[in-house]
Amino acid sequence: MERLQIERIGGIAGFGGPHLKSRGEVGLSDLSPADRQAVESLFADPQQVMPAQPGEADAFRYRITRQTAAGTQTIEVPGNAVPAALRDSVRDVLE
Amino acid sequence: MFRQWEKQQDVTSADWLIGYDIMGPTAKARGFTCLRDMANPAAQHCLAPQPTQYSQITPGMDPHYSSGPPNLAFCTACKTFGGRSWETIGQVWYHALTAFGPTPNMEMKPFADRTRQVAHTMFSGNPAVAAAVDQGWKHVGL
Repeated sequence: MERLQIERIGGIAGFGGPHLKSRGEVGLSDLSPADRQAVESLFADPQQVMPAQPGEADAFRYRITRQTAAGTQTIEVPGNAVPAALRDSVRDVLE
Repeated sequence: MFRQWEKQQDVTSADWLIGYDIMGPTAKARGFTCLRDMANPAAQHCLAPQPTQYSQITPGMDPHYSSGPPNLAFCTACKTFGGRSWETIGQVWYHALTAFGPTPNMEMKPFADRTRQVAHTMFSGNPAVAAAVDQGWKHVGL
């Protein structure tokens, strides 16, 4: 079953730095058809995804990684474009 | 600077910490005392340590990290000049940010030069102000 690794980055505290992480994982087959389609669209053209408010301070972004036959594929997109099922999968940790 | 004004702290008695009051027990137990430290952005006690030099900034870097060098430049300028941050160096920064209209695409080098220019014109009778601002930016490689 294909798994998606999700990392939330940014925000005022700077998630994604050396100590503060926010990570999660979901199975693609656990997502609704609409969410699977949204994920496929994100991977197809992540550059097309615009933030809800360009230049918004303290916004979160999401780094999503999947394994494909061609290898590992990682994208980074604004939080407003990410399905709630992925956003809600992350948990904050100190490292 | 607002917190320093509230507490009437001078630049040497101020702690220059950002987010010390939102550290939770787990972070404190790990030795993290703040999110960021304007006087020492790369310090180990920072939960979100930042670069200290302009040369460490990379294109597209999150501003919560790339703000390390300008934070340190401001702090260094304040400490070099002495006194209270909001009375002189803070006036320079505030004027540089508010008196020129919106410039959302301004980069760090032109902003540094703007504060140098503002320090020179606002405090033309006190060259120590411009010298302190210059020292602050030079400390971070600008």
